[in-house]
Amino acid sequence: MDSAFSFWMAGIAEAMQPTNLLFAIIGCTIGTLVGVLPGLGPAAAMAILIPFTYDLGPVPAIVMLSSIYFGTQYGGTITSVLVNVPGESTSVVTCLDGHPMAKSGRAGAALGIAAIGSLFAGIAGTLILMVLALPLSSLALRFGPVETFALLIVGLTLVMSFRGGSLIAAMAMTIVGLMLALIGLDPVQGAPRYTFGNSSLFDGVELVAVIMGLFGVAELLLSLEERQAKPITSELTSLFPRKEERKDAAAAIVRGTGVGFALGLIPGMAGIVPTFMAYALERRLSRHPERFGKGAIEGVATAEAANNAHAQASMVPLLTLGIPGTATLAVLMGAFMINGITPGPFLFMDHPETVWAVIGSFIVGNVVLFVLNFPLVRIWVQVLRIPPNYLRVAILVFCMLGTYTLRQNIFDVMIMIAFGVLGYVFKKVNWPTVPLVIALILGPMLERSLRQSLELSDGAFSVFLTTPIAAGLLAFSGVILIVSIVATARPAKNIPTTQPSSNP
Amino acid sequence: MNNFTRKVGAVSVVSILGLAAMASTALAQSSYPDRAIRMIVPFSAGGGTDLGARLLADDLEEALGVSITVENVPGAGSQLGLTELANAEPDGYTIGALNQPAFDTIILSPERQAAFNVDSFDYIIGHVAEPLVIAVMPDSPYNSLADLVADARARSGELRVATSGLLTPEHLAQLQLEQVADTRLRIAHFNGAAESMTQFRGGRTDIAFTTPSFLEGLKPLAILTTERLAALPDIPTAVEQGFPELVMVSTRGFAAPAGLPDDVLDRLREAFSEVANTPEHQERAAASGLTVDVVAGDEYDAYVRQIHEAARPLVELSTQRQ
Repeated sequence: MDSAFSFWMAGIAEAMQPTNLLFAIIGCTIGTLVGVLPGLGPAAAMAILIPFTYDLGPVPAIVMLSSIYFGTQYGGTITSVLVNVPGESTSVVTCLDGHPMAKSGRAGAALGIAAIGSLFAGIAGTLILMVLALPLSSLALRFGPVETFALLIVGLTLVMSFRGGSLIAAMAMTIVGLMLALIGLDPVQGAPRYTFGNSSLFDGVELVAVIMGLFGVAELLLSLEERQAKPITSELTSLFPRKEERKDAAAAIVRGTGVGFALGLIPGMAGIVPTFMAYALERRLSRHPERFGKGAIEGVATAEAANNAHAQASMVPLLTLGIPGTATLAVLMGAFMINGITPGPFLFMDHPETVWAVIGSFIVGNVVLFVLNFPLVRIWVQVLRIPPNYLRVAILVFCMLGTYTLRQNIFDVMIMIAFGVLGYVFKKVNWPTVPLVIALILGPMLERSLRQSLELSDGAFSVFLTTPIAAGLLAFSGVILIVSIVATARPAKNIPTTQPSSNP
Repeated sequence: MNNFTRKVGAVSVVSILGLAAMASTALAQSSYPDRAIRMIVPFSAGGGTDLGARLLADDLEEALGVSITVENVPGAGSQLGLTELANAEPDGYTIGALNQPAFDTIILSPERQAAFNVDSFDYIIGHVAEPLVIAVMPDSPYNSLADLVADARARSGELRVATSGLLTPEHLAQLQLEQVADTRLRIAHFNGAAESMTQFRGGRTDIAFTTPSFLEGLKPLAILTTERLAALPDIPTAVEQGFPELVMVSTRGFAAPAGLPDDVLDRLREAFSEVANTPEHQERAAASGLTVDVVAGDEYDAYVRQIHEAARPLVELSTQRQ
């Protein structure tokens, strides 16, 4: 534990370095802004900003992007409470009681308790992450190509089955993603595949261009269909909840953190699920369940704690196993890989300084976000007054510019536009784009580990069944698949199957 | 401006340019170098090649009296940077680092369609040598290379080995071992030495082909140099154990585009070997884990070509297998 403790301290110290602190603040600010703006999710925002982080070096780049992720969790609350429009999908539950509170003049208290709940969940979540990370990553040496292959299959299965909506569509999109991943020079022998002689495709379809298209441009197109947000109706008075409110909220925050963290550990679990479950739990435990939906502060507190704890917990499978469960994490994983760092069992062994600095920055980021959102909440309210059309143009320009600067290649921009249109179509027919992106990211690793497994086993596929960890993992993914097929046949009623694009 | 002044202006501009050009040619012949030299490193910053090049560039600035700008041009396993070097003006102001046998496999693999060959460069100096070592876990029954070769022959297609990538020195040495032992190995390609060594330490491969920096806690069986290494005097070479064909050293040197004026090439070779032979430089390199092994002048040219020819049959063998 001694060495673990020194890693933690070193990580936090590194995160407090002026450069890293600066990028944490920038990331938190952008994240809050993105959270406040409906129609622009964290995945899109992060994708748009990846090209601008190229020269920063791994730690500042990842610190900034992960700060955006957490920032959106905070920022999404503001519009939920004040306008009854969830800035983020995970803030849907916050609307239920947050907006009624605002209507009855308690907007300040709702925002205050949301910030406090998020801070608690963020810090507690990071501390649990710190404790869990090393034991989980100590499994690394036991992970050879056979186990890695099985683990990636589990990851893909989880992502397919947790999206809600059609399982067939999710599977189809996963396969499309894997097919796209085949484009380019093959990862072992360097033979060109599906490049049609176009050298721009030798390095594969540019991941960032695809992500920007699917999440950035497609969301932009979708937002054109939405009506403009209603004007703010509530005044902000004191942010501090009343004494009796605080007591009710404290327990709700702790429970929300627990639910959010526990479910966040499952790769592919969308943030909305634990948030909704924490809310349902709180209503069941309450002596006055009838107040829920009419401005119960526990509802806001637990929802915000749950979505922030989920955000922290979802980092565990990403960092220790290399499985990005959601679009946002997929983008974050892309950022890691662009910087030459592959999340997964070897991350803590190969790049301890980087990963602990990133984890340290989660603590720093949550404190920064609290400051940004608690005393400065009035500033963010002003953002809601910017006409959305100006923002859309700016975002589109950013997407184009960002994609072009990746490799100074206009082909990438065309890829981005094509995937923007495709993403819009997919949304319209309700085909999930997240499995596609995750399959595109995991595809090369899946292929490499499959080939390595077979090279070492002299071509015997039985190796996947005779290696205990791999066999267990594959059986597990079989179970997930069967359960989700059964669940699709009899859809559960109480878990929302909304699948917003920005689902973190 | 009237016609006359325009003409005068044009003439004087032309003559000034002409004079400047003549002056610079004259200077280049008499006092090379008189401006900054660009050093292309065809790998990314921070790697072993980059480290060695930057150390040498630092010391060379003093010896040559001009600044040397190290520029990383990574990509396609050094093919991009080498292409840029081959196409540069052969005036001594663009030089670059090259790694063998990476350099050879790029030229020799038909699908690479390299825009250069072994004659596209003038070779300045061999700087750093990184030998390969064949090692096993301490509890392995093998105590010599002969034990290993005998077992590999008896159990053809069963022993597992990992490379740090297709046609890397490890891979080429494994192909050599297959030929020497008249056997087949299960060769799996990983991404870099750290990954392939993790497979070995995790018990998923049977024999490690690795560099001295990864040897801790392992039982080395043979070093693939022609003679024992001064730094590792206890590791016998494969040659002395009766396997003269098993020689694989990864070397890093410097080259310029072919066609350098003789005096410029001589000046570069002289300055490089002067600097690389100083004890201070070698100590600094050793502190960064690099073993300086100077191969100077025409000797290096011959060495590059010899290694190139040695790699040819191995690359052909690998290409046939695909």
